[in-house]
Amino acid sequence: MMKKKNTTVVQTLSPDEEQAKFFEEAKNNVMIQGHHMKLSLDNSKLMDALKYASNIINELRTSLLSPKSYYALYLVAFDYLQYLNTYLYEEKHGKRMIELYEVVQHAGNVLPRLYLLITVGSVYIKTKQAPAKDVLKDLIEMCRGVQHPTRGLFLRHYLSEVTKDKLPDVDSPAEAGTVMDSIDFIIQNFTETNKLWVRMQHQAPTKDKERRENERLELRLLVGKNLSRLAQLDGVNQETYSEVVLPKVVEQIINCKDKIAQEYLMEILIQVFPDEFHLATLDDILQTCAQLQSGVNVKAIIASLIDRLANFATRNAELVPSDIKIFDIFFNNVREIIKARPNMELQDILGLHVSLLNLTLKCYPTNKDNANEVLGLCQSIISTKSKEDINKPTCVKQIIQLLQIPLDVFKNVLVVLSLTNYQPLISCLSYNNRKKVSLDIVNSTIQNSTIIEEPEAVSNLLETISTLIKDEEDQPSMDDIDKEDFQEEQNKVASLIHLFDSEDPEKLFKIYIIARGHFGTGGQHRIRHTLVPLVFCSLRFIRNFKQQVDTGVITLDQNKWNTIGGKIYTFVSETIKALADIKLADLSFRLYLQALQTFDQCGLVGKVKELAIKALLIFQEDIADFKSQVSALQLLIATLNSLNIPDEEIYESLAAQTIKQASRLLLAPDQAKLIATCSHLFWVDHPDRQYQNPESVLQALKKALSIISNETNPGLSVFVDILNECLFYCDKNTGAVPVQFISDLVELIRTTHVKDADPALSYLQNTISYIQSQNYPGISIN
Amino acid sequence: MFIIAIGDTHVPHRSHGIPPEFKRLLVPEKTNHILSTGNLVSKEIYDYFKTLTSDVHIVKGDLDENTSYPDTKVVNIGEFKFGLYHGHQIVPSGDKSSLALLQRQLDADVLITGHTHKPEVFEANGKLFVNPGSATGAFSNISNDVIPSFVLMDVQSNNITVYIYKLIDGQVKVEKIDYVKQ
Repeated sequence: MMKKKNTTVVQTLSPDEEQAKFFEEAKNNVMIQGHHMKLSLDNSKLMDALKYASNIINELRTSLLSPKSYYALYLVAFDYLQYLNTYLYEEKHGKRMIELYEVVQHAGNVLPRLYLLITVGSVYIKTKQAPAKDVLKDLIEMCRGVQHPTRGLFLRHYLSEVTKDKLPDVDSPAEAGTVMDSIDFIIQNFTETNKLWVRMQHQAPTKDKERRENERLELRLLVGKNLSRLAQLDGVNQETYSEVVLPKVVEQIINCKDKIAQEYLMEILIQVFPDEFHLATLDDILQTCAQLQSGVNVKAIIASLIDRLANFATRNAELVPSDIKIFDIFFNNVREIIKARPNMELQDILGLHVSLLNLTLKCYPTNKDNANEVLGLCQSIISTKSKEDINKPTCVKQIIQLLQIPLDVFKNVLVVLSLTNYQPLISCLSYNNRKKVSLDIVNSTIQNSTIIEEPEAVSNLLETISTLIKDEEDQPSMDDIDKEDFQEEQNKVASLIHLFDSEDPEKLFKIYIIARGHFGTGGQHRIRHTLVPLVFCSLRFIRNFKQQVDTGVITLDQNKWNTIGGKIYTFVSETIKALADIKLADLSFRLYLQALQTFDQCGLVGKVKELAIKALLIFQEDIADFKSQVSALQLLIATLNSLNIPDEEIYESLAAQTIKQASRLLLAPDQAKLIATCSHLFWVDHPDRQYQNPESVLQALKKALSIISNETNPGLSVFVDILNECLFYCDKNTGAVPVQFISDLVELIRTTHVKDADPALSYLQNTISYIQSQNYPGISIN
Repeated sequence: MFIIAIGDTHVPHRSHGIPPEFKRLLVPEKTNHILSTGNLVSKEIYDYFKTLTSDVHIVKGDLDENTSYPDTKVVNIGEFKFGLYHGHQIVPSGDKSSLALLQRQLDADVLITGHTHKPEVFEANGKLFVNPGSATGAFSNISNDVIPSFVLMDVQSNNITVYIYKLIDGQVKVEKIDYVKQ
């Protein structure tokens, strides 16, 4: 067993294990040679040391290592070369740099020769024994000698690293050179590095494409570093950047025609240079984007640039020159780029629109036109796409974002609705998403309490949220809709009416008519929610209007007032009728009573009568459940009692009908209790109306008592109710109920109807205590 | 022990919501119980009350469609017996004698009613009568110029400190009334 396993290991190494093995071997060699190099240096044997150094670098000539292992090996070698570098700079060797520069040129192989030359060259500059610009020029020229991609990349990285602190900049002495020399040097190195990096791609057979791409990505920093070097030069100001640096960098990015390089370098370019530079060169950058290879993710590049500049402009508005029209530049370029790239994914196009919208709203928070332009462009692009594309979750998400951002930023639905391209964009969405956006609109209106004063705006709003207002062709069947959600949505929509308001009564009534028109199309499931608030708003409207007439704010003759009252009456009663027609008997009965009270307060007696007739008709025909009948009658009695109606004939007829209905109730206790309550129909005592008929009060109470007394098992509670009603008339000193009647009633209750454990015993006890505490004349109870 | 008496919100019938000035005051830390006079009209406000406390008591107003709400409710909290009633059934509306009748019937120490949309707290015959008004200032056929209001009761053994919160021209005004059980 053991033996077999061993053989397997020796025979087949995995590619990873093989790499590790190659790397270990090479690293060992580097370290051995490095050790010797250090020993030689410590013993001042420079020539020997250079030979060992050359051996170290020879290890970098390998072709066996993957880029990642090569990188690791390079770092080990780099450390030894740094040691050599330091030694050379300390000049213990007593040689002039020019001599050494000559000596290392004799190294046998090109790679060791160049590494050593760069090492010595950097010291040569540092010791100021030669002008930096000349040495740099010399070195960069000679590096052309290595055209193997990996070796070349690292060699140039080495060049860049050891010269980074020796580049002529603004403060350098004239003889060293100018920042322009440094720019030339770095750009040349950048260009050559990038060419090598791109060439890596074409080294391997196509089947290894993906592996090769990954390897390249591991080395991208070697290329990108050059751009950060440029950004670190003090001499690269905005002007040099625009005129020298950017054109050259861009030229290489475009010309290399390589997707990976273009994507990465654009990202780095935007990252390493300051926002002000980008602001000044926006057009150039965006036009560069337009020229990138078709596979390049231009969206990511532009979106990150937009987001960066939007943040910059928000933080430093004063630093944005007024002549730079950020939005216009982005907008025009983005439009052109989208046009020029027919294969761009819709989600990327939408993503760009989201960025553009954020940009304009951050930079120009009050500018509606820009936002509208973005939505318009988006709409025009979407209209060319298939439903299938548009309804992909990633796309839908962004369209919804485009619709939500204006709501969040403007916090005013009127401003949002003034964007002419807003509504068409909603129409592109599927039913559920249209509903979602419509709800967002409604919620935003409610949360910001946005008052809508213009009839056209009301119409516009309700049309925009039409998915919530009426049935639509693509909606799911009612059975598939969650009832609670539906009710909640409709109640939200219904709330809107309270935000429709105008100081001009004519306008406001017009608004209600418009709203009624829209809500009226909603079908029975919706109108039961949406029409009710409209009724109450109309009632409030006419009462406020009447108040204004009464206080002289509005001057109106009686005829005119009657006409207006008639119009509103028609509107209200027809709206309630729509609810009665779908058999919402309890609700429409109550609404008629509410309307009746309002029209009574407004002194429109004729309308009071008509409304009362409608209410009674519903009571008789459509309220069948006996409990509902009891509550309906209670409400009717309270309502009639509250009226100011001056016409006694109408009132008495209504009172009589009410008593009639009360005596027709199913259960005797209900009849008795309600008839006792009906006594209040004959004792009305409020500031605007006195109507007192003591005989009828007593008659009602007696009738109630006789009904309950005729029951076989009447219980206590209704008797105590009647007793308490009697006390009401004592409390008010009406004289309607004789004291003897009350004393007799107490006696009757005590002797006949008190039974153990009757739940109304405490009610009776409380009532008796109350009588005792009041000392009514003529009533004595022990 | 904090009790919020609140009701007659009529959302969406007569208002689009409880004013934000009140919502800032209505916090779970100051709400052990909610006694609602009804006419919430929709589930939205009930759900909102439930976010403040799990102990929500409510009676049925004339426009509440929820048939599970009772017409009257008696709730014992500490040493007090609270009677709860919407009040549309009371004739004449809001009349003190009629309210006293109801208090005797429910055998309550504190009677809470609504319907009039007029906040009112008074003591009569040793009992406390509380009407929290309408929390949204909803339109009413009984009262003109309704202002939004609700009531907070701080119950300590046998006494109650009643705070009436009113929203007047965007400003919250508070009135305080002390009540001791006899």
